[in-house]
Amino acid sequence: MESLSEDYVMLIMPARGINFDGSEEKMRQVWEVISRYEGELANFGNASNGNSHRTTMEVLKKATSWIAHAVFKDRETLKACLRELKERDFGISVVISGLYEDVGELCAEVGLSPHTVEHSLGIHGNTERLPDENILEITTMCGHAMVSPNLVTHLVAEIDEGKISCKEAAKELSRMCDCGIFNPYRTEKLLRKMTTGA
Amino acid sequence: MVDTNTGKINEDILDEKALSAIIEFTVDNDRLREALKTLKEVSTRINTVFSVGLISRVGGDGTLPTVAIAREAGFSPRPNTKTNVGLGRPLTEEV
Repeated sequence: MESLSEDYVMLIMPARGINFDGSEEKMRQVWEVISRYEGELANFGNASNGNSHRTTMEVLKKATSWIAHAVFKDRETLKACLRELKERDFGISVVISGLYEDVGELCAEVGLSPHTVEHSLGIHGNTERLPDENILEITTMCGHAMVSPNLVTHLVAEIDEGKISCKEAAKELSRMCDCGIFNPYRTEKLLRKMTTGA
Repeated sequence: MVDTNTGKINEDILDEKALSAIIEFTVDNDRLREALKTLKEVSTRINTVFSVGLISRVGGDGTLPTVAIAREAGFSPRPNTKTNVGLGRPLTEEV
């Protein structure tokens, strides 16, 4: 719960059949807005152009992209970016993943009324087959399951053996998530709790 | 799907393995509790796992009545959500 207060994923995308046609230039402008906050972002990108380990804001500002992801590690930067997106009025959907109450308050502060909310009601079935909760907290940051629990276990061992730092391990895990929604900043802190590493 | 009423799947794909599968459907608020209770019951009879996501429109008063229904059905909504902040245009009701 505590670590979630440093993990807010913004997703911006046009809807096919609704406002998709002609949205290329708007999406470039969206990236222009997001780029102003780059120094405070934990990650960014999309599946087509890659995550922040593979692409740059300069590329994204010129690319044709249908989805923009930006991972914020603090509420105030997120609020500033959201306010700017509201003022620019692109008419393209913006979805924020994060603590529900925080996001609700933030919307009110910016003058927005949330339209739709998706709640997770948990994982069910034979949950004994799942990896350890600490590992799930890391791997589930990538919604496409591109971050392997076995890689987390391997890197945790490498950290404990002093072969790699928590920061390096977090970056390696983040590299796996093509869309750029994985939060290496939060992961580094989670790895510190799981290991004896720095 | 051979039978959409019972959920019977084509015989020829029953032995196939899938990394993930998503089932999406809409349900009226007055049948939500029944649908969630069914999922709870099914969860005791399968040898894999599934996650449940509940997407709801925010009410005019800013509340989500579906969350209370989910709790009554035995689910514990997580504190983190995906919130559509309402900047997309046109809105669904305007299309």
